[in-house]
Amino acid sequence: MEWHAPWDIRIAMDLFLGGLGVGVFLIAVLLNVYDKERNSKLSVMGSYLAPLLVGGGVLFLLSELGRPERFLSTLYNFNPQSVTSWGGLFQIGFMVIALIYAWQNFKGKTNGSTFRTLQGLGVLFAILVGVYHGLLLASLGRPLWAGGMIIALFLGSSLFGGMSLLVILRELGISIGVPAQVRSEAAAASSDKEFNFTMLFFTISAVELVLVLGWQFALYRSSADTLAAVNSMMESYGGLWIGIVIIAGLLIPLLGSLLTLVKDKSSEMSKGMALTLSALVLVGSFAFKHIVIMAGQGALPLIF
Amino acid sequence: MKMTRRGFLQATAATGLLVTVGTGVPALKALAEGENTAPIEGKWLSTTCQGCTSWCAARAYVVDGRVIKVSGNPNSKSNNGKVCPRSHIAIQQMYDPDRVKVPMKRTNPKKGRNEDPKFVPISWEEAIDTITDKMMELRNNHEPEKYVLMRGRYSYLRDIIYDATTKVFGSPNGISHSAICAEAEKFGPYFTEAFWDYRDYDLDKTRYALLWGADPIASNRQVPHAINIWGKVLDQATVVAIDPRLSATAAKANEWMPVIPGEDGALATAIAHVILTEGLWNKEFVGDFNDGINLFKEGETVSEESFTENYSYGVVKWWNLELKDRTPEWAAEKAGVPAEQIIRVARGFANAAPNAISWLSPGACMQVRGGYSAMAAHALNGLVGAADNVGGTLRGAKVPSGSIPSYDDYLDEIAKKGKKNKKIDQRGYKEFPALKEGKSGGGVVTNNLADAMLNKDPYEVKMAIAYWNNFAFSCSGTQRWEKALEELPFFVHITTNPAEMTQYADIVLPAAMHMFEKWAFVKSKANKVAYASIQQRMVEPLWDVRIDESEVPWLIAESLAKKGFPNLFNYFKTEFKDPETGKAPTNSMEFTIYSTKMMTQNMWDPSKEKKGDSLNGWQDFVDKGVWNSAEYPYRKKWEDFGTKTKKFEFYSETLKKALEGHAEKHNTDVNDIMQTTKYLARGEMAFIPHYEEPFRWGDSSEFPFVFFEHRSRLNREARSANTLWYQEFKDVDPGDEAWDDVAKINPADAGKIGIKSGDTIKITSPIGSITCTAKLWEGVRPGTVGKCFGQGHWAYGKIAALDYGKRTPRGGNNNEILPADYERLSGSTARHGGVTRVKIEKA
Amino acid sequence: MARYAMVIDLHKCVGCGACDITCKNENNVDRGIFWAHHFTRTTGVFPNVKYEHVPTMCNHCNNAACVKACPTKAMYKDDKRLTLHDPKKCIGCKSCMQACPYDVISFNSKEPHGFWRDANSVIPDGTASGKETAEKLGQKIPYYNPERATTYAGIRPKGIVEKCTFCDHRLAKGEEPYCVFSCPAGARTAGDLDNPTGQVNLLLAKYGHKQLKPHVGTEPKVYYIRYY
Repeated sequence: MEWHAPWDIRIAMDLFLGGLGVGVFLIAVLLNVYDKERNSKLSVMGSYLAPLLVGGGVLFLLSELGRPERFLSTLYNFNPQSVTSWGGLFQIGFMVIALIYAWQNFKGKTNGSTFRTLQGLGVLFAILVGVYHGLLLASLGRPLWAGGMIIALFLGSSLFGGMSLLVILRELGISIGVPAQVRSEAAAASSDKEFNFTMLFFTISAVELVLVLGWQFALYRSSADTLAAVNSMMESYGGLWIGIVIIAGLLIPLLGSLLTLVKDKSSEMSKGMALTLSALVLVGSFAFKHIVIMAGQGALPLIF
Repeated sequence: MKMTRRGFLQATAATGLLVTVGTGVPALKALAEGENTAPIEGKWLSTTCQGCTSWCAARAYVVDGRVIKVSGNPNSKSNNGKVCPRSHIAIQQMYDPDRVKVPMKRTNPKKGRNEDPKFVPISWEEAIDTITDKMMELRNNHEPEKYVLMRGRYSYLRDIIYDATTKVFGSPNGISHSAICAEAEKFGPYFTEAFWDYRDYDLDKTRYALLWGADPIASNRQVPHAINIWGKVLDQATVVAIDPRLSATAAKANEWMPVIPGEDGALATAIAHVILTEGLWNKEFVGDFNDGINLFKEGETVSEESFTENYSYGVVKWWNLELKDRTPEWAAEKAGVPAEQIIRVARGFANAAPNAISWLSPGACMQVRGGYSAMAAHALNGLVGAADNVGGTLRGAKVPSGSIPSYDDYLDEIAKKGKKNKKIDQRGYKEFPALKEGKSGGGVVTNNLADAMLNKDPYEVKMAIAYWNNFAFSCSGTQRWEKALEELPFFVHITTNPAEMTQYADIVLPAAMHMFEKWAFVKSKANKVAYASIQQRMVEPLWDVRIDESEVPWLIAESLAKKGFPNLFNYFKTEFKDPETGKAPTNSMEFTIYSTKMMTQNMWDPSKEKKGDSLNGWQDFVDKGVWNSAEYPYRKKWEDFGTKTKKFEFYSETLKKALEGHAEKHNTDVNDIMQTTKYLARGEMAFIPHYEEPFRWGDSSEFPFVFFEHRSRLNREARSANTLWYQEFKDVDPGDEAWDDVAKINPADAGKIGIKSGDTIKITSPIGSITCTAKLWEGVRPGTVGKCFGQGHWAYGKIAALDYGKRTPRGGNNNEILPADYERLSGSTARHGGVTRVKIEKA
Repeated sequence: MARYAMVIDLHKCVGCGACDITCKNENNVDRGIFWAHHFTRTTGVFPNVKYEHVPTMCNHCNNAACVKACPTKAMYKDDKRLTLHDPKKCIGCKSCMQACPYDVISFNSKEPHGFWRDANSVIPDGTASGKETAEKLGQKIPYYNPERATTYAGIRPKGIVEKCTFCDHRLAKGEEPYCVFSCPAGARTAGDLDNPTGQVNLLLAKYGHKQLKPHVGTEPKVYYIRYY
């Protein structure tokens, strides 16, 4: 019998774009909190991007549903046992908060308590959505997705992707929809306690690499079902996994950022390196999610 | 613990789960509330499934003029109301989107596999008119014998088209498919116990089932009965499957003996050897040494006077001539099965006797030298007293059906002269003894018809009508059929689907589907009961079809009458009458129904004496669907088997007489006949069951693998490959794959030639090549390649063929690599026993 | 209330596939979709080879993973502990398919039964077509079983999943599931686990049982007894 995965690339697009969205949101908030003056331009653009990306992901998700017009029934037919149900709630919640937050940024109303409340709620929902991605997979009980590590893996990959996307914006000097006063503020800012992108870049890549390798190592030491699943993943996607996910998406960014930091721990990567590594991270993050989602759906051997 | 539907209802009703309301109609109240449970108007109507040779009494559920389900007929005592998966597939066969819906004529005069016939629809009048024009031409030229009727599957209305129509017209040439089916199998029981037929098997009481290539839970024969009782058989009996393939039955058997194809005779004679040397034969049936001391010792002859036989004949001759040297060690080498296993099986079989079955199937005898294997395998039943005995192999009770009325008075001079000609298939020629029931040329040599036509020997064929068959697909050496049909001047095919054979037709007539669109009846047996079972038109056909065996001959007769030859029509109108009203038929459908009524009257007419069910008239028969005989009595034939000696013959005087008769006819001796028919036996060996080295086409250096084929549990005689359910579930045949046609190769062999599962491969024999998919499977013997029959259609419809328009088959038809060869003593096609070697290459 | 369960006697089962085919027949199931199916396994090396055929179907698990995964409660346990599906609530997210350890839920990615809407004839005007056959009968499938529609969508539309319902429409009329009725080997027994003297419990007590993947915690209610 010919076998088709129930979920195709559109689910990977949802989790990838959604992950980028919440990643961008979280990093943007971080920038805003850490160094409001200097990074507010990126922070503002991040607030625009986040709902766009998450919304784009949801569109992919909707297109993958057999009955997209019934999507909102996840709210009124809510099943508390279903992570998918919760996911709907989180994504809708995040979208609402992120859109208002973006509007506040656009209007330059970034100092009031409303803004701070929105920021806090946004962070909460961003984390919920980011956690939901991995939790959804983990809740379905398929061997490759089982265990909690997949949650951290997806969240880490989302943060890394979001981070890289912001680095790209920064290096390209893009400025869209940023209020005029923000632009001037940025120019006037002093340079003594600068946010170091490379350090964060290095840290996330190191953590994610350890997580991914640790995860894979653990899978190889698991039950027959899981072992069969990881073997089948490596059989079908081994080259991409090692080449794109591990080497290009994690190892090279790790080494690149490390090299920069070794020279001078407060310096930033050169423009070329930052753009290259960030692009690799994005590709790696998508490949990671796509492979895990596709391979995890492999036919399960039936046993007594 | 079997649970019938009634049992289920009682059990659940008793717990209060199901509430039985009023009249005994159960309803589950909780579920019924608030839901639409309005009854759907449906009705179960009786019919018969002819998807294989079991011919099961079945019924179909008809709703609003549509057949929606099928089940076994609960009135049948032979199948316990069960049917196998084939019957359900019949629904998709009737509603096949590729059914021929109107008569058609060919507009491209060129014939060939790659010629589009350019069929166009015509009316029934035009079709029949064209046919009878050709028939009148033959009669006017005083050559009616050049008309041939080719019959495939049939009901018992067959004799209208096959016998009466052909003979009254003036041709001897009603040619049946029987010899591509299993005639060699009948050779075994006939030349031991004078029974030219399939046996029944007392599975209910057996304690040992020795299956010679038989796969009863999947195919051939009485499949639903076997499936239904197999759990019990496995509980109470030892099952041994002798088959180069791990068949469905072998997979569940106690022992699998993966014999080298064609070496069955070695096993059978060795088992007999063990039974005799160890003194395990049935003394009651076979008798004993006069002084009670067993003198059967390996290699030593025994004096015939020292042994007194009871119901058998020639056991000492058999020993002296053949068995004394047939040791298990000798057989182990020939058959590739360990000697210990042969000894174990022989002892087990004999110890269970007489409640033991040596079950012969086509696989073990439809071989070039398979006649004597058939005898040897069946002789084991005699050796242990299982023939016609409790838990053994049985004949069958009689079904008192009538035959068609005599047509002698309707034969004119042209017909009388014409039908005296030799039959076209060369039966009875020196190389084709075809000794059906001991008569030289008594049986058909179906597959040789193609060569006879090509060689115009004994004469030319100018027209043929074929029905319910597809010889260009189902006969080995199909290439000859394609050629013969290309050269045939005028060919009519009566068919449900545009089959391979149809592609050569000048006129195509759409046939009614047998299970739901026809009126007819069939006879069969299983579970000690013989029966007659009805087929009725339960739904109006969607297409402009006619019933092949009765309506088409009526239309032909009517047309011939208009053209000046009224005899056939007069015969139909005068001799066929409704037995209830005495009315003569006025149209083809009345003719069909009256014929069915007439031939089944003994069963449904309460005034007729018979041993079996009492029915209350014709309508009662139609409603119940089946008439069951009384149970067949054991040991009925022991006092007189009907052989020349009246005994069960281990030394066949009956065969001796038959062979000598055939030799005499050709002014020669039996040794010459043996040589001509490719047998190695000489002298008296020709009259006893004995081992013959298998005959194979192809040299082992060029063709390293022995090819064997087998049957599918979903095949409706190669007519179901155009259905979705067949293709979707093809993997229920062990080792096979859904939607594919695989050659099963042992992984050890495949490794050597670098073939993997899923590879497209080309299999080549000395006569041709086919392409299919490789499947590495441990369930086939190394050195052999096994493949199921049924796929490889290049026509038939858009599922069966990968591309109907381009003539691209789905897989390959085994018959394109199987050479046309024969077990000549029976006339049977030799498709089994590894008749050819093959080579395998990546395609 | 009852707790329905199925016992499959592998000793009696001959692997013929009648259950698979008749299930499609009874429930109007499209090509490529299987409510009842099987897996086979060949182990060992010639000549010591073992072949097994194990029929599969929805296990109507006590602790059904599909029910937990469904975001809209379209998949639910009914009061007879059957795992049923409401086609009107299903959004086609396929979470249930991912969650099911037994791969017995299928998705309708296309308008079903396209085979019977195909208007192509292999011989123009000479042979029929799927479309012509179905239209002549006024049905979406020539052998469409209207009884199926009494408790579930007669044909499940595009965009939603579908699965075995234990023939709840037949149970409602006091009939056995159709696979039980059609099994020529008598290998299947359906009944109530809460009935201590029912056939199901008698068989389980007599032979013991196996279940598919008991370790995943779904508490499947298809019990396999004896060996193929």
